[in-house]
Amino acid sequence: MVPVRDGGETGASARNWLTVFLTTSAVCFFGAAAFIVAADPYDAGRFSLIKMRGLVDERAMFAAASRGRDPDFDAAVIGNSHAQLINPRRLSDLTGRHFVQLSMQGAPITAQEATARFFIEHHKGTPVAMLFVIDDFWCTPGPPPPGFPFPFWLYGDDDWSYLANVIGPDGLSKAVARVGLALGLKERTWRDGFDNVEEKYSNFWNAENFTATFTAAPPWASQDVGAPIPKVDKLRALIDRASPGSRFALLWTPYYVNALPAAGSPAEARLRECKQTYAALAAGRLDTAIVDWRVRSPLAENTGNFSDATHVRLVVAHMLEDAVAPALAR
Amino acid sequence: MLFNSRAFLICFLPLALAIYAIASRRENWRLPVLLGLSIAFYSYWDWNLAPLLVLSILINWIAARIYGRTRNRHVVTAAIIANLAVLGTFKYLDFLIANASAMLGEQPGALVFATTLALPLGISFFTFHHIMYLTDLRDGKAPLYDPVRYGLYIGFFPQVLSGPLVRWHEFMHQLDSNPFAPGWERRAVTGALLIVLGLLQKVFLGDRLATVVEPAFAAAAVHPVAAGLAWQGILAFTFQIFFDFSGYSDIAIGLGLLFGVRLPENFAAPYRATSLRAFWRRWHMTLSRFLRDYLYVRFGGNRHGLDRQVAAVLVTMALGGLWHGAAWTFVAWGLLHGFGLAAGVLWRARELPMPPLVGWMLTFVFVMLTWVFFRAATFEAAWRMFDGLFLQTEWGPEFRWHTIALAAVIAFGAPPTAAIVERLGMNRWVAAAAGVTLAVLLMEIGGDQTAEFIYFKF
Repeated sequence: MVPVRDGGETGASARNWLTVFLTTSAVCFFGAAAFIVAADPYDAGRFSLIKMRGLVDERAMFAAASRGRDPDFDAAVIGNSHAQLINPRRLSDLTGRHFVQLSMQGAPITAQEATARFFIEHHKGTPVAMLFVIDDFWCTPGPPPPGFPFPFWLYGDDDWSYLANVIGPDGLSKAVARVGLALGLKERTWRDGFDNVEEKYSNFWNAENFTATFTAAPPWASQDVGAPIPKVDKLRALIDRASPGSRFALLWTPYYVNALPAAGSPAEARLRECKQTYAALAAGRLDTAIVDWRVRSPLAENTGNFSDATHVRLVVAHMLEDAVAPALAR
Repeated sequence: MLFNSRAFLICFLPLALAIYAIASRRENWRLPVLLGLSIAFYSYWDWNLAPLLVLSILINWIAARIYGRTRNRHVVTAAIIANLAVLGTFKYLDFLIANASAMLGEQPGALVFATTLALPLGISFFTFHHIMYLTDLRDGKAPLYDPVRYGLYIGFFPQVLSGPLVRWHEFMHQLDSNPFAPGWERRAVTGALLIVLGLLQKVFLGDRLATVVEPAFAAAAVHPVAAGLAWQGILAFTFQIFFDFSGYSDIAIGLGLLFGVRLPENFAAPYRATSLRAFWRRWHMTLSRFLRDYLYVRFGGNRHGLDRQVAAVLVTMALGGLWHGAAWTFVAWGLLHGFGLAAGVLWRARELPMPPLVGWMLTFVFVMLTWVFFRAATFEAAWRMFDGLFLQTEWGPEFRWHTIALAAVIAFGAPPTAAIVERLGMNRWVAAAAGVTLAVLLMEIGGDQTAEFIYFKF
């Protein structure tokens, strides 16, 4: 048994101990919690006492909340790493809109949907333009695999969930950074979300390493021929939430030829089925266009166009911007 | 509700203490209110399972009353068998079906059918509480109690989920004392310190080590594991399970003290043990006592010669392994410890020497390596871990040694938590430091994902 000293002293010192303990813990915890909430560490616009915009956080999955509700932008790029090299500044120049990059590496479709919905909800009354970069993950019938730590609480409507999650060590460090930003001690993270990952990862993204990676469609590509594609309904529901007059483009980015499914394979049949499904969505609407560059072409056979088998280089990203711009122009 | 959650620490615990303090002003309200709070705590997790706990309490209490009137030993035996049957249904039925279907020639894993019953939280622990009481009742050692007191013995919320396994005679008399009688503040200080130290172990050691453990064992489940990954995985798990369960036990004991009940200690610096026998006297001590008194001794213990003693040790430890989970890997883990303990019995019988340092090293290495079977989901995964530990030449990813090293220093060097608490004393700087620590812990444990205690799934 744990020894408890019941010795001769009165309980006064123990009462004092408990008072100091409870007061210290309550003051420290609730004080820190109030500071975090008031500082709005991720610039999500909730319970904030600091009336300023922007944040100090280079993690796209957190920064997308600040960027996604920024009224200076009326257009967004949604996707995962396949969308990251689309340059919002260039797209803005081509379309006459103000684009923000909201894609994030490794983001499952659920995270992309949450980000897109957040952007739409914060631009109610404004006709927006949105570029969705569609890839194999939009074709799988089931839910995404677990593991990607996307902060859904930051993009949802549940205030309790927001408070439960924002009050924590990460929220505290970002709240301190926000105060530093307000005082001019810190620099604001770039606003439009464009991250030149080609430059950043040039050390390990090279043609020699990837050409032999695949000899067919990547292993994550769906082969469930005939299975439903529920994500198309989610995309349709998303688009329907946007303000009237909005424009949308669905883009299939090129893959290096080795990562395209073999002719006659289930993966090829499934990809065809999937493309038809999204094409049908676009065909049924005047506000939505589809741009399909996931095809066998001289571009797909040139290793110089790719960082790896499924990621294009900046030079191709510019071609894609040119290709989607007419569909998204004001 | 998890002890390491804000819902528990900020809402349930202060509210429960306040309600209990008010109820304590009316002596006939106090214990029913504490039982109600305990059932509310249990129901928070899954209210569907609360009736099982309530029924379990009522049926065993009725069995005890019938025995009290009739002195028919079969009533108690039947109640014990019924408890084991309920535990078996929830915990082992699918395991039995899987093995039966494998014996019938079905593909491994292709069950004839599976019940897929959810394992009610704490069932392994409250079943053992019933068994301890009923066995002692049948042996004439335990008296009869009213349903509220018996309900609290089984369902007292600090210990209902994962123990410590407390004996009725350690527990029942404490219910008669007013928990808020003069002097309660000292007990509360000890309780508060234990809760803070328990949370520290869980949050800053156990949970951080888990992030090192999981990649290693997840890799072993599907493919060979590099040497560095295997070593960091098993070293991290060795300390993770200690700090996870020791942390849980300290919190449970601390909570017990806040509500006026001293629960028995569960850990006493086990990784400093110089023999396997000493390890089991320091590791999950209340389970060790149960296994010793209700299995090993009843199988003959050391009263019928060396052969019988060795057999008793092996059977006891195999059953102890199986108690942890419905898988042959747990049985293998228990059996290995049985062989280790039996080797110790034979060693001592021959009065062979064992220098303490050698004994400590052998014990620690043995315990660490056998954790592989405890943690791996299958024998294939366990073999891959051993392959990584001893045969793989590729070292693999960077060795994440910082938390492992810190955990090792504390596990090998620090005294048991109870001794630390005793030394800390009534200093107000200690109070302030504990308060700041609790605030930091409350910051750390927020969010949607709270890490469960490992023993919750047993």
